[in-house]
Amino acid sequence: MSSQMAANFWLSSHCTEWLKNAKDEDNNPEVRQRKEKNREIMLSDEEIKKLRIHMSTFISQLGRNLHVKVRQRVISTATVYLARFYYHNSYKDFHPHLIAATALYLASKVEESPVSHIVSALKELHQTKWPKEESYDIRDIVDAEYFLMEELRFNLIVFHPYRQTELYMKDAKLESCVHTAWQIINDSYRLDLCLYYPPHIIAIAVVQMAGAYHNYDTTEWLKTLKFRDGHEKAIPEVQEKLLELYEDYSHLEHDEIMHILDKVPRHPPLGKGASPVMSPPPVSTPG
Amino acid sequence: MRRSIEDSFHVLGKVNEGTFGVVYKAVKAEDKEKYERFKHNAAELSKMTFLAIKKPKNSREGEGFNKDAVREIALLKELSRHQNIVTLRDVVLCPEGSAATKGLYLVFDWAEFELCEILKNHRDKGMKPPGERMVKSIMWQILNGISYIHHNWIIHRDLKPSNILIMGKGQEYGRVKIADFGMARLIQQPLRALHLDGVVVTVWYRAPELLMGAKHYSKAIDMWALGCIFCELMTNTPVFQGKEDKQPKALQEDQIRKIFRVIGKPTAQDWQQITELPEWNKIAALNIPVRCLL
Repeated sequence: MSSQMAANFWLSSHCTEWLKNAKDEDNNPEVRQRKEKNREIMLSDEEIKKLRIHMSTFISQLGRNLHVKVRQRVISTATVYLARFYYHNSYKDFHPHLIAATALYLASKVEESPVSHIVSALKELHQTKWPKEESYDIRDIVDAEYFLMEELRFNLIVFHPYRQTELYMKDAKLESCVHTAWQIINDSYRLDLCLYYPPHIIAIAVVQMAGAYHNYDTTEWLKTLKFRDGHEKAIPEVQEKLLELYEDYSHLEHDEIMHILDKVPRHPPLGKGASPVMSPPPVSTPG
Repeated sequence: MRRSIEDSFHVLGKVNEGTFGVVYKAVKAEDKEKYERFKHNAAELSKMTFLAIKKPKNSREGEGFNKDAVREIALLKELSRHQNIVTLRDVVLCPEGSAATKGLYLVFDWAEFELCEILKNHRDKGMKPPGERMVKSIMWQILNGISYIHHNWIIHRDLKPSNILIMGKGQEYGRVKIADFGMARLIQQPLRALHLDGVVVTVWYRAPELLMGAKHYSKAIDMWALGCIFCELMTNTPVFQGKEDKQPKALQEDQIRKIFRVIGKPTAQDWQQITELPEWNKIAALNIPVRCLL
Protein backbone atom coordinates (compact mmCIF):
# COMPACT_ATOMS: atom_id res chain seq x y z
CA MET A 1 0.00 0.00 0.00
CA SER A 2 2.64 2.46 1.08
CA SER A 3 4.73 2.08 -2.04
CA GLN A 4 2.00 3.84 -3.99
CA MET A 5 2.26 6.98 -1.94
CA ALA A 6 4.22 10.09 -2.65
CA ALA A 7 6.66 9.35 0.09
CA ASN A 8 6.69 6.66 2.69
CA PHE A 9 3.56 7.40 4.66
CA TRP A 10 4.52 5.27 7.64
CA LEU A 11 7.65 7.37 8.22
CA SER A 12 6.04 10.71 7.38
CA SER A 13 5.33 13.45 9.90
CA HIS A 14 1.66 13.03 8.96
CA CYS A 15 1.72 9.46 10.28
CA THR A 16 4.18 9.81 13.15
CA GLU A 17 3.11 13.16 14.59
CA TRP A 18 -0.33 14.07 13.32
CA LEU A 19 -2.49 11.01 13.76
CA LYS A 20 -4.12 11.55 17.10
CA ASN A 21 -5.84 9.13 19.39
CA ALA A 22 -9.11 10.60 20.62
CA LYS A 23 -8.80 8.53 23.80
CA ASP A 24 -5.58 10.27 24.85
CA GLU A 25 -6.94 13.77 24.58
CA ASP A 26 -8.03 14.14 28.19
CA ASN A 27 -4.42 13.75 29.21
CA ASN A 28 -3.14 16.37 26.80
CA PRO A 29 -2.80 19.74 28.56
CA GLU A 30 -2.88 21.72 25.31
CA VAL A 31 -6.08 20.06 24.17
CA ARG A 32 -7.62 20.56 27.59
CA GLN A 33 -6.72 24.23 27.48
CA ARG A 34 -8.21 24.60 24.01
CA LYS A 35 -11.46 23.05 25.20
CA GLU A 36 -11.59 25.28 28.27
CA LYS A 37 -11.02 28.42 26.24
CA ASN A 38 -13.70 27.47 23.75
CA ARG A 39 -16.06 27.05 26.69
CA GLU A 40 -15.08 30.47 28.04
CA ILE A 41 -16.59 32.07 24.95
CA MET A 42 -19.68 29.87 25.37
CA LEU A 43 -19.19 27.63 22.38
CA SER A 44 -20.97 24.32 22.80
CA ASP A 45 -19.62 21.12 21.26
CA GLU A 46 -22.43 21.28 18.75
CA GLU A 47 -21.51 24.84 17.78
CA ILE A 48 -17.86 23.91 17.46
CA LYS A 49 -18.83 21.15 15.06
CA LYS A 50 -20.84 23.61 13.00
CA LEU A 51 -18.10 26.21 13.10
CA ARG A 52 -15.66 23.59 11.85
CA ILE A 53 -17.98 22.78 8.93
CA HIS A 54 -18.30 26.48 8.20
CA MET A 55 -14.51 26.81 8.21
CA SER A 56 -14.16 24.14 5.59
CA THR A 57 -16.78 25.80 3.38
CA PHE A 58 -15.10 29.15 3.97
CA ILE A 59 -11.69 27.87 2.82
CA SER A 60 -13.29 26.34 -0.29
CA GLN A 61 -15.02 29.59 -1.15
CA LEU A 62 -11.82 31.51 -0.56
CA GLY A 63 -9.86 29.10 -2.73
CA ARG A 64 -12.37 29.34 -5.57
CA ASN A 65 -12.52 33.13 -5.45
CA LEU A 66 -11.48 34.66 -8.73
CA HIS A 67 -8.61 36.55 -7.10
CA VAL A 68 -7.10 33.29 -5.93
CA LYS A 69 -8.44 30.29 -7.83
CA VAL A 70 -6.41 27.38 -6.55
CA ARG A 71 -6.80 23.66 -7.19
CA GLN A 72 -8.76 21.40 -4.87
CA ARG A 73 -5.59 19.90 -3.37
CA VAL A 74 -4.45 23.31 -2.13
CA ILE A 75 -7.83 23.78 -0.47
CA SER A 76 -7.61 20.31 1.08
CA THR A 77 -4.08 20.91 2.38
CA ALA A 78 -5.15 24.24 3.83
CA THR A 79 -8.08 22.58 5.58
CA VAL A 80 -5.76 20.00 7.14
CA TYR A 81 -3.52 22.85 8.37
CA LEU A 82 -6.57 24.45 9.90
CA ALA A 83 -7.65 21.24 11.63
CA ARG A 84 -4.14 20.79 13.02
CA PHE A 85 -3.94 24.40 14.15
CA TYR A 86 -7.19 24.23 16.10
CA TYR A 87 -6.20 20.94 17.65
CA HIS A 88 -4.03 22.92 20.08
CA ASN A 89 -5.61 26.36 19.85
CA SER A 90 -8.95 27.92 20.66
CA TYR A 91 -11.28 30.14 18.71
CA LYS A 92 -10.93 32.60 21.54
CA ASP A 93 -7.31 33.35 20.72
CA PHE A 94 -7.32 33.16 16.94
CA HIS A 95 -10.14 34.19 14.63
CA PRO A 96 -10.95 31.29 12.30
CA HIS A 97 -11.27 33.47 9.20
CA LEU A 98 -7.76 34.85 9.64
CA ILE A 99 -6.32 31.38 10.18
CA ALA A 100 -8.29 30.03 7.20
CA ALA A 101 -6.86 32.70 4.90
CA THR A 102 -3.37 32.13 6.29
CA ALA A 103 -3.66 28.36 5.89
CA LEU A 104 -4.62 28.80 2.25
CA TYR A 105 -1.75 31.24 1.76
CA LEU A 106 0.82 28.84 3.22
CA ALA A 107 -0.66 25.75 1.54
CA SER A 108 -0.44 27.48 -1.82
CA LYS A 109 3.31 27.94 -1.29
CA VAL A 110 3.82 24.34 -0.22
CA GLU A 111 1.75 22.99 -3.11
CA GLU A 112 3.80 25.06 -5.56
CA SER A 113 1.01 27.35 -6.67
CA PRO A 114 1.50 30.51 -4.62
CA VAL A 115 -1.33 33.02 -4.50
CA SER A 116 -0.75 36.71 -4.11
CA HIS A 117 -4.23 38.23 -3.86
CA ILE A 118 -5.43 36.46 -0.76
CA VAL A 119 -6.37 39.75 0.90
CA SER A 120 -8.69 40.83 -1.93
CA ALA A 121 -10.31 37.40 -1.93
CA LEU A 122 -10.90 37.54 1.80
CA LYS A 123 -12.29 41.05 1.58
CA GLU A 124 -14.67 40.13 -1.18
CA LEU A 125 -15.89 37.03 0.61
CA HIS A 126 -16.49 39.02 3.79
CA GLN A 127 -18.32 41.77 1.94
CA THR A 128 -20.62 39.42 0.07
CA LYS A 129 -21.33 36.85 2.77
CA TRP A 130 -20.13 38.03 6.16
CA PRO A 131 -20.42 41.81 6.22
CA LYS A 132 -20.08 41.94 10.00
CA GLU A 133 -16.67 40.31 9.95
CA GLU A 134 -13.47 42.27 10.18
CA SER A 135 -11.28 42.07 7.13
CA TYR A 136 -7.58 41.53 7.44
CA ASP A 137 -4.65 42.99 5.56
CA ILE A 138 -1.50 41.25 4.40
CA ARG A 139 0.34 42.26 7.56
CA ASP A 140 -2.14 40.25 9.63
CA ILE A 141 -1.73 37.26 7.37
CA VAL A 142 2.05 37.46 7.39
CA ASP A 143 1.99 37.67 11.19
CA ALA A 144 -0.40 34.76 11.45
CA GLU A 145 1.85 32.75 9.13
CA TYR A 146 4.42 32.64 11.96
CA PHE A 147 1.88 31.21 14.37
CA LEU A 148 0.58 28.73 11.86
CA MET A 149 4.06 27.46 10.91
CA GLU A 150 4.97 27.05 14.53
CA GLU A 151 1.76 25.31 15.49
CA LEU A 152 2.15 22.94 12.57
CA ARG A 153 5.56 22.10 14.05
CA PHE A 154 6.88 22.90 10.56
CA ASN A 155 5.29 19.72 9.24
CA LEU A 156 3.91 20.96 5.96
CA ILE A 157 3.62 17.90 3.74
CA VAL A 158 0.20 16.37 3.99
CA PHE A 159 -1.19 13.14 2.54
CA HIS A 160 -4.64 13.06 1.00
CA PRO A 161 -6.97 10.17 0.16
CA TYR A 162 -7.55 11.22 -3.48
CA ARG A 163 -4.90 9.23 -5.25
CA GLN A 164 -5.52 6.07 -3.29
CA THR A 165 -9.24 6.34 -3.77
CA GLU A 166 -8.62 6.45 -7.47
CA LEU A 167 -6.45 3.32 -7.31
CA TYR A 168 -8.93 1.47 -5.13
CA MET A 169 -11.83 2.41 -7.39
CA LYS A 170 -9.95 0.87 -10.28
CA ASP A 171 -9.13 -2.20 -8.21
CA ALA A 172 -12.78 -2.60 -7.18
CA LYS A 173 -13.91 -1.97 -10.77
CA LEU A 174 -15.95 1.02 -9.67
CA GLU A 175 -14.48 3.55 -12.10
CA SER A 176 -17.99 4.73 -12.94
CA CYS A 177 -18.43 6.03 -9.37
CA VAL A 178 -15.22 8.03 -9.15
CA HIS A 179 -17.06 11.31 -9.28
CA THR A 180 -19.20 10.41 -6.27
CA ALA A 181 -16.12 9.27 -4.37
CA TRP A 182 -14.38 12.55 -5.12
CA GLN A 183 -17.35 14.45 -3.76
CA ILE A 184 -17.36 12.41 -0.56
CA ILE A 185 -13.65 13.03 -0.02
CA ASN A 186 -14.13 16.76 -0.47
CA ASP A 187 -16.95 16.63 2.07
CA SER A 188 -14.81 14.61 4.48
CA TYR A 189 -12.71 17.72 5.09
CA ARG A 190 -15.65 19.22 6.95
CA LEU A 191 -14.76 16.88 9.78
CA ASP A 192 -11.46 16.35 11.56
CA LEU A 193 -11.08 12.86 10.07
CA CYS A 194 -7.57 13.76 8.90
CA LEU A 195 -6.48 14.06 12.54
CA TYR A 196 -7.64 10.59 13.49
CA TYR A 197 -7.52 8.33 10.45
CA PRO A 198 -4.79 7.71 7.89
CA PRO A 199 -5.73 8.67 4.32
CA HIS A 200 -5.90 5.09 3.01
CA ILE A 201 -8.52 4.20 5.64
CA ILE A 202 -10.56 7.24 4.64
CA ALA A 203 -10.11 6.19 1.01
CA ILE A 204 -11.43 2.67 1.62
CA ALA A 205 -14.39 4.02 3.58
CA VAL A 206 -15.16 6.41 0.74
CA VAL A 207 -14.87 3.72 -1.96
CA GLN A 208 -17.43 1.59 -0.13
CA MET A 209 -19.79 4.51 0.36
CA ALA A 210 -19.52 5.61 -3.26
CA GLY A 211 -20.15 2.02 -4.33
CA ALA A 212 -23.16 1.70 -2.05
CA TYR A 213 -24.58 4.96 -3.37
CA HIS A 214 -24.59 3.43 -6.86
CA ASN A 215 -25.85 0.05 -5.55
CA TYR A 216 -22.58 -1.84 -5.87
CA ASP A 217 -21.64 -4.30 -3.19
CA THR A 218 -17.98 -4.00 -2.14
CA THR A 219 -17.79 -6.61 0.63
CA GLU A 220 -15.93 -9.10 -1.57
CA TRP A 221 -13.45 -6.43 -2.66
CA LEU A 222 -12.82 -5.45 0.95
CA LYS A 223 -11.87 -9.05 1.72
CA THR A 224 -9.05 -8.85 -0.83
CA LEU A 225 -7.30 -6.11 1.17
CA LYS A 226 -4.77 -6.85 3.86
CA PHE A 227 -4.70 -4.70 6.96
CA ARG A 228 -2.24 -4.02 9.69
CA ASP A 229 -3.49 -5.33 13.02
CA GLY A 230 -7.07 -4.22 13.45
CA HIS A 231 -6.84 -1.16 11.22
CA GLU A 232 -9.94 -2.25 9.31
CA LYS A 233 -12.04 -1.54 12.40
CA ALA A 234 -11.61 2.16 11.68
CA ILE A 235 -13.45 1.94 8.36
CA PRO A 236 -17.00 1.71 9.77
CA GLU A 237 -16.10 4.49 12.22
CA VAL A 238 -15.21 6.80 9.36
CA GLN A 239 -18.37 5.84 7.51
CA GLU A 240 -20.53 6.48 10.54
CA LYS A 241 -19.07 9.96 10.93
CA LEU A 242 -19.59 10.75 7.28
CA LEU A 243 -23.19 9.52 7.40
CA GLU A 244 -23.85 11.67 10.43
CA LEU A 245 -22.42 14.62 8.52
CA TYR A 246 -24.80 13.98 5.62
CA GLU A 247 -27.83 13.34 7.78
CA ASP A 248 -27.55 16.11 10.33
CA TYR A 249 -25.29 18.77 8.91
CA SER A 250 -25.81 18.88 5.19
CA HIS A 251 -27.41 22.25 5.43
CA LEU A 252 -26.41 24.95 7.87
CA GLU A 253 -28.43 28.15 8.08
CA HIS A 254 -26.47 31.29 7.42
CA ASP A 255 -28.03 32.94 10.48
CA GLU A 256 -26.99 30.09 12.66
CA ILE A 257 -23.35 30.41 11.60
CA MET A 258 -23.55 34.16 12.02
CA HIS A 259 -24.79 33.63 15.56
CA ILE A 260 -21.85 31.34 16.30
CA LEU A 261 -19.36 33.75 14.71
CA ASP A 262 -20.76 36.50 16.93
CA LYS A 263 -19.43 34.62 19.93
CA VAL A 264 -15.91 34.56 18.52
CA PRO A 265 -13.88 37.63 19.48
CA ARG A 266 -13.30 39.77 16.38
CA HIS A 267 -10.01 41.23 17.52
CA PRO A 268 -8.32 38.42 19.27
CA PRO A 269 -4.92 39.80 20.13
CA LEU A 270 -2.98 37.48 17.88
CA GLY A 271 -1.44 34.89 20.10
CA LYS A 272 -1.39 37.01 23.24
CA GLY A 273 -2.86 35.03 26.05
CA ALA A 274 -2.57 31.91 23.99
CA SER A 275 -0.90 29.03 25.70
CA PRO A 276 2.86 29.44 25.72
CA VAL A 277 3.30 28.77 22.05
CA MET A 278 5.44 25.73 21.75
CA SER A 279 9.07 26.69 21.98
CA PRO A 280 11.18 24.80 19.51
CA PRO A 281 12.52 21.54 20.89
CA PRO A 282 15.95 21.82 22.46
CA VAL A 283 18.75 21.34 20.00
CA SER A 284 19.94 17.86 20.63
CA THR A 285 23.30 16.43 19.84
CA PRO A 286 23.49 14.08 16.89
CA GLY A 287 23.35 10.32 17.28
CA MET B 1 7.44 33.43 24.13
CA ARG B 2 9.72 32.68 21.24
CA ARG B 3 13.45 32.31 21.61
CA SER B 4 15.41 34.76 19.53
CA ILE B 5 18.47 33.72 17.59
CA GLU B 6 20.75 35.58 20.04
CA ASP B 7 19.18 33.85 23.04
CA SER B 8 19.55 30.43 21.56
CA PHE B 9 22.83 30.52 19.68
CA HIS B 10 26.28 32.03 19.87
CA VAL B 11 27.16 32.94 16.30
CA LEU B 12 30.84 32.47 15.47
CA GLY B 13 30.80 33.99 12.02
CA LYS B 14 29.44 34.11 8.54
CA VAL B 15 30.63 31.19 6.45
CA ASN B 16 28.74 31.55 3.21
CA GLU B 17 26.64 34.11 1.43
CA GLY B 18 24.79 33.82 -1.83
CA THR B 19 21.60 34.65 -3.67
CA PHE B 20 19.75 32.25 -1.33
CA GLY B 21 20.83 34.10 1.83
CA VAL B 22 23.51 33.68 4.47
CA VAL B 23 24.96 30.75 6.44
CA TYR B 24 26.52 31.23 9.87
CA LYS B 25 28.54 28.90 12.02
CA ALA B 26 27.35 28.80 15.60
CA VAL B 27 27.24 26.91 18.86
CA LYS B 28 24.31 26.62 21.22
CA ALA B 29 24.12 29.56 23.63
CA GLU B 30 24.82 27.28 26.58
CA ASP B 31 28.05 26.11 24.91
CA LYS B 32 29.41 29.62 24.46
CA GLU B 33 31.56 29.56 27.56
CA LYS B 34 32.95 26.14 26.76
CA TYR B 35 33.76 27.32 23.27
CA GLU B 36 35.61 30.40 24.52
CA ARG B 37 37.60 28.23 26.89
CA PHE B 38 38.63 25.66 24.30
CA LYS B 39 38.87 27.91 21.28
CA HIS B 40 42.49 26.95 20.74
CA ASN B 41 42.30 23.37 21.87
CA ALA B 42 41.63 21.24 18.80
CA ALA B 43 41.07 18.05 20.75
CA GLU B 44 38.37 19.62 22.92
CA LEU B 45 36.81 21.52 20.04
CA SER B 46 36.34 18.35 18.05
CA LYS B 47 34.10 17.07 20.83
CA MET B 48 31.81 20.10 20.67
CA THR B 49 28.58 20.35 18.70
CA PHE B 50 28.66 23.01 16.04
CA LEU B 51 25.72 24.19 14.04
CA ALA B 52 25.16 25.81 10.67
CA ILE B 53 22.42 28.42 10.73
CA LYS B 54 20.96 29.25 7.37
CA LYS B 55 19.06 32.48 6.99
CA PRO B 56 17.25 32.46 3.65
CA LYS B 57 16.76 35.86 2.10
CA ASN B 58 13.34 37.27 2.90
CA SER B 59 10.83 37.72 0.14
CA ARG B 60 9.58 41.17 -0.55
CA GLU B 61 7.77 42.89 2.30
CA GLY B 62 4.23 41.58 2.44
CA GLU B 63 4.93 38.21 0.89
CA GLY B 64 5.50 36.33 4.07
CA PHE B 65 7.93 33.46 4.20
CA ASN B 66 10.30 32.88 1.35
CA LYS B 67 8.84 30.15 -0.85
CA ASP B 68 12.15 28.31 -1.32
CA ALA B 69 12.67 28.24 2.44
CA VAL B 70 9.16 26.90 3.01
CA ARG B 71 9.83 24.20 0.44
CA GLU B 72 13.19 23.31 1.99
CA ILE B 73 11.64 23.02 5.45
CA ALA B 74 8.67 21.01 4.16
CA LEU B 75 10.91 18.49 2.41
CA LEU B 76 13.62 18.24 5.06
CA LYS B 77 11.07 17.69 7.81
CA GLU B 78 10.25 14.47 5.96
CA LEU B 79 13.71 13.51 4.64
CA SER B 80 16.12 14.66 7.30
CA ARG B 81 16.18 11.34 9.13
CA HIS B 82 18.31 9.69 6.45
CA GLN B 83 22.01 9.42 7.27
CA ASN B 84 23.11 10.92 3.95
CA ILE B 85 20.76 13.89 4.04
CA VAL B 86 21.71 17.01 5.94
CA THR B 87 20.16 17.05 9.43
CA LEU B 88 17.70 19.86 10.09
CA ARG B 89 17.77 20.23 13.87
CA ASP B 90 15.45 23.11 14.32
CA VAL B 91 13.65 26.02 12.72
CA VAL B 92 13.71 29.32 14.56
CA LEU B 93 11.19 32.06 13.82
CA CYS B 94 11.92 35.71 14.35
CA PRO B 95 8.86 37.81 13.62
CA GLU B 96 10.50 40.99 14.93
CA GLY B 97 13.59 42.74 13.65
CA SER B 98 14.84 44.49 10.55
CA ALA B 99 13.83 43.46 7.06
CA ALA B 100 17.05 41.45 6.82
CA THR B 101 17.09 39.76 10.23
CA LYS B 102 13.47 38.79 10.76
CA GLY B 103 12.02 35.64 9.31
CA LEU B 104 13.00 32.01 9.29
CA TYR B 105 16.28 30.46 10.40
CA LEU B 106 17.15 26.86 9.63
CA VAL B 107 19.49 25.16 12.09
CA PHE B 108 21.58 22.26 10.77
CA ASP B 109 24.29 20.03 12.16
CA TRP B 110 27.59 21.55 11.20
CA ALA B 111 29.42 19.71 8.41
CA GLU B 112 33.10 20.57 8.31
CA PHE B 113 33.78 20.04 4.61
CA GLU B 114 32.23 20.81 1.27
CA LEU B 115 33.17 18.43 -1.50
CA CYS B 116 34.13 21.37 -3.70
CA GLU B 117 36.60 22.58 -1.07
CA ILE B 118 38.19 19.16 -0.84
CA LEU B 119 38.57 19.00 -4.60
CA LYS B 120 39.90 22.53 -4.76
CA ASN B 121 42.47 21.73 -2.11
CA HIS B 122 43.65 18.74 -4.09
CA ARG B 123 43.94 20.90 -7.19
CA ASP B 124 45.65 23.85 -5.52
CA LYS B 125 48.23 21.66 -3.86
CA GLY B 126 48.89 19.82 -7.10
CA MET B 127 47.85 16.58 -5.46
CA LYS B 128 46.60 13.53 -7.28
CA PRO B 129 42.83 13.09 -7.38
CA PRO B 130 41.27 11.42 -4.35
CA GLY B 131 42.08 7.70 -4.14
CA GLU B 132 39.79 5.01 -5.43
CA ARG B 133 38.57 3.99 -1.98
CA MET B 134 37.61 7.54 -1.12
CA VAL B 135 35.86 8.10 -4.44
CA LYS B 136 33.98 4.86 -3.98
CA SER B 137 32.90 5.75 -0.47
CA ILE B 138 31.77 9.25 -1.38
CA MET B 139 29.92 8.13 -4.49
CA TRP B 140 28.22 5.28 -2.68
CA GLN B 141 26.98 7.61 0.01
CA ILE B 142 25.74 10.24 -2.43
CA LEU B 143 23.91 7.54 -4.38
CA ASN B 144 22.46 6.18 -1.17
CA GLY B 145 21.08 9.62 -0.29
CA ILE B 146 19.78 10.32 -3.79
CA SER B 147 18.15 6.93 -3.99
CA TYR B 148 16.27 7.76 -0.80
CA ILE B 149 15.22 11.16 -2.15
CA HIS B 150 14.09 9.67 -5.45
CA HIS B 151 12.15 6.91 -3.73
CA ASN B 152 10.27 9.68 -2.02
CA TRP B 153 9.43 11.19 -5.41
CA ILE B 154 11.61 14.19 -4.85
CA ILE B 155 14.17 15.59 -7.24
CA HIS B 156 16.96 17.76 -5.87
CA ARG B 157 17.61 19.92 -8.93
CA ASP B 158 20.81 21.52 -7.64
CA LEU B 159 23.38 18.77 -7.16
CA LYS B 160 26.97 19.98 -7.35
CA PRO B 161 30.10 19.56 -5.23
CA SER B 162 29.33 22.60 -3.08
CA ASN B 163 26.05 20.99 -2.01
CA ILE B 164 27.73 17.75 -1.00
CA LEU B 165 28.94 18.07 2.57
CA ILE B 166 31.21 15.78 4.55
CA MET B 167 31.18 15.56 8.31
CA GLY B 168 34.33 16.40 10.25
CA LYS B 169 35.80 14.67 13.31
CA GLY B 170 33.12 13.35 15.63
CA GLN B 171 30.53 10.62 15.64
CA GLU B 172 29.78 10.92 11.96
CA TYR B 173 33.33 11.50 10.72
CA GLY B 174 33.51 11.08 6.95
CA ARG B 175 29.79 10.79 6.41
CA VAL B 176 28.42 12.43 3.27
CA LYS B 177 25.40 14.72 3.59
CA ILE B 178 23.42 16.03 0.67
CA ALA B 179 22.45 19.64 1.37
CA ASP B 180 20.44 22.56 0.02
CA PHE B 181 16.90 21.56 -0.79
CA GLY B 182 15.83 25.06 -1.81
CA MET B 183 15.38 23.93 -5.42
CA ALA B 184 14.08 20.44 -4.65
CA ARG B 185 10.55 19.44 -5.55
CA LEU B 186 8.03 16.73 -5.00
CA ILE B 187 7.26 15.40 -8.46
CA GLN B 188 4.33 13.13 -7.85
CA GLN B 189 1.20 14.75 -9.24
CA PRO B 190 2.61 18.26 -9.50
CA LEU B 191 -0.04 20.97 -9.59
CA ARG B 192 2.30 23.18 -11.60
CA ALA B 193 4.50 22.06 -14.46
CA LEU B 194 8.15 21.76 -13.45
CA HIS B 195 9.52 23.91 -16.24
CA LEU B 196 7.58 26.90 -14.89
CA ASP B 197 10.07 27.02 -12.03
CA GLY B 198 12.62 28.38 -14.50
CA VAL B 199 16.24 27.40 -14.85
CA VAL B 200 17.43 24.66 -12.52
CA VAL B 201 20.86 23.19 -11.74
CA THR B 202 24.15 25.10 -12.00
CA VAL B 203 25.23 25.13 -15.62
CA TRP B 204 28.27 22.77 -15.34
CA TYR B 205 26.04 20.08 -13.82
CA ARG B 206 22.98 20.72 -15.98
CA ALA B 207 21.68 17.75 -17.95
CA PRO B 208 21.44 17.92 -21.77
CA GLU B 209 17.63 17.73 -21.75
CA LEU B 210 17.53 20.85 -19.58
CA LEU B 211 20.06 22.61 -21.80
CA MET B 212 17.79 21.84 -24.73
CA GLY B 213 14.80 23.39 -23.00
CA ALA B 214 12.87 20.24 -22.06
CA LYS B 215 9.50 21.02 -20.53
CA HIS B 216 9.26 17.62 -18.91
CA TYR B 217 12.17 16.27 -16.97
CA SER B 218 12.66 13.87 -14.14
CA LYS B 219 15.03 12.16 -11.72
CA ALA B 220 17.47 11.69 -14.59
CA ILE B 221 18.63 15.29 -14.24
CA ASP B 222 19.98 14.48 -10.77
CA MET B 223 21.72 11.41 -12.20
CA TRP B 224 23.46 13.51 -14.83
CA ALA B 225 24.72 15.87 -12.16
CA LEU B 226 25.95 12.88 -10.14
CA GLY B 227 27.80 11.59 -13.18
CA CYS B 228 29.54 14.96 -13.48
CA ILE B 229 30.47 14.81 -9.81
CA PHE B 230 31.81 11.26 -10.21
CA CYS B 231 33.98 12.39 -13.09
CA GLU B 232 35.20 15.36 -11.10
CA LEU B 233 36.19 13.08 -8.23
CA MET B 234 38.17 10.84 -10.58
CA THR B 235 40.00 13.61 -12.42
CA ASN B 236 40.08 16.44 -9.89
CA THR B 237 38.54 18.83 -12.44
CA PRO B 238 34.96 19.69 -13.32
CA VAL B 239 34.23 17.70 -16.45
CA PHE B 240 32.17 20.16 -18.51
CA GLN B 241 33.19 23.71 -17.67
CA GLY B 242 31.02 25.64 -20.05
CA LYS B 243 30.98 29.40 -20.02
CA GLU B 244 27.57 30.52 -18.79
CA ASP B 245 25.60 32.92 -20.94
CA LYS B 246 23.98 35.12 -18.30
CA GLN B 247 21.24 36.52 -20.53
CA PRO B 248 17.76 35.41 -19.57
CA LYS B 249 16.59 32.35 -21.49
CA ALA B 250 19.93 32.14 -23.30
CA LEU B 251 20.91 28.94 -25.05
CA GLN B 252 23.95 27.66 -23.14
CA GLU B 253 25.82 26.93 -26.33
CA ASP B 254 29.27 26.61 -24.81
CA GLN B 255 28.05 24.08 -22.23
CA ILE B 256 26.30 22.08 -24.93
CA ARG B 257 29.42 22.09 -27.11
CA LYS B 258 31.59 20.90 -24.25
CA ILE B 259 29.28 17.98 -23.55
CA PHE B 260 28.67 16.88 -27.12
CA ARG B 261 32.32 17.20 -28.01
CA VAL B 262 32.85 14.33 -25.57
CA ILE B 263 29.77 12.18 -25.85
CA GLY B 264 28.99 13.02 -29.46
CA LYS B 265 25.96 14.91 -30.66
CA PRO B 266 22.95 12.69 -30.09
CA THR B 267 20.78 11.83 -33.07
CA ALA B 268 17.09 11.06 -33.31
CA GLN B 269 18.11 7.37 -33.45
CA ASP B 270 19.91 7.54 -30.09
CA TRP B 271 17.30 9.65 -28.41
CA GLN B 272 13.83 9.47 -29.82
CA GLN B 273 12.17 12.60 -28.57
CA ILE B 274 15.19 14.81 -29.09
CA THR B 275 13.72 16.44 -32.17
CA GLU B 276 10.77 17.64 -30.11
CA LEU B 277 12.92 19.56 -27.63
CA PRO B 278 12.52 23.33 -28.01
CA GLU B 279 16.21 24.05 -28.74
CA TRP B 280 16.79 21.08 -31.02
CA ASN B 281 16.86 22.99 -34.28
CA LYS B 282 19.56 25.33 -33.04
CA ILE B 283 21.58 22.42 -31.73
CA ALA B 284 21.17 20.36 -34.88
CA ALA B 285 22.77 23.22 -36.77
CA LEU B 286 25.89 23.27 -34.57
CA ASN B 287 28.99 21.61 -35.92
CA ILE B 288 30.57 19.78 -33.01
CA PRO B 289 33.53 17.45 -33.62
CA VAL B 290 33.85 14.60 -31.15
CA ARG B 291 36.95 14.48 -28.99
CA CYS B 292 38.21 12.01 -26.47
CA LEU B 293 37.46 12.84 -22.85
CA LEU B 294 40.66 12.02 -21.00
